[in-house]
Amino acid sequence: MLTLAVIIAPSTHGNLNILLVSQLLPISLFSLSANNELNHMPSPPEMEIFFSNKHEQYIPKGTKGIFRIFGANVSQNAAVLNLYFEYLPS
Amino acid sequence: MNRYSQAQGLEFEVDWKLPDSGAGIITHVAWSPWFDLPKPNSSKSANRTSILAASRMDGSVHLGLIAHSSTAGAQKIQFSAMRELLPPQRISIAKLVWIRRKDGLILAIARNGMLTLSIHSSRGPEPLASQLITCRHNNFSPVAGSVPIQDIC
Repeated sequence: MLTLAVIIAPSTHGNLNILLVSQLLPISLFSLSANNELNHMPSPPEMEIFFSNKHEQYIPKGTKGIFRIFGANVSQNAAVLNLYFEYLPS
Repeated sequence: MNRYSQAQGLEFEVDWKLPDSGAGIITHVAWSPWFDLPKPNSSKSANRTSILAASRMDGSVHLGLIAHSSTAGAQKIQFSAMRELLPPQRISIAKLVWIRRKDGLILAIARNGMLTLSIHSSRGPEPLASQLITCRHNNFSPVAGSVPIQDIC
């Protein structure tokens, strides 16, 4: 699915966290270390739950639909994630 | 082309001719934050640089260097270099995002199922030179569902 948002935020360990959000709201998380090692990380459970709830809220079982994400940003301390999206039933 | 007036500030306009591959449609552009170039001790001018990244429909990614220099009473903006960062590929670009890090800039390039980072040092003499890292990730499909793949970073 099309990647719609790339959100980059520093982590507490000096790494950069890179979050990819795709059209049906699955997410992928990467971590880039200070010496440029890139690793695919397990997604934080709270984030999985958040996106899973959004998916169930807007795409009822047995129906199809997609999300269009128009913009995303993250606060300086990576504590707040803002997403502006639209649900499109098909 | 540079134009300058006291009332309107500096205005910059340039034609950027990407290599002709028959698929010239630009799909995404992203400006990096401005950063200082290392300068010789003898230089009295202040030089700031930004990198413009552009992707085309054919999946290629290109970089252009925009330099802003200022000396006493004079300012100049020029398009000073360009390079093809990634050649044409079957999968087109979905997102281009720049982020500043203390030792330089990083361009995140997202394709379907793949993330590439272009890591640029602000200390080196060539701002367009970069280290490339690519990592594949779970390729979620509404038809096939979530298909686990082995991570390749």
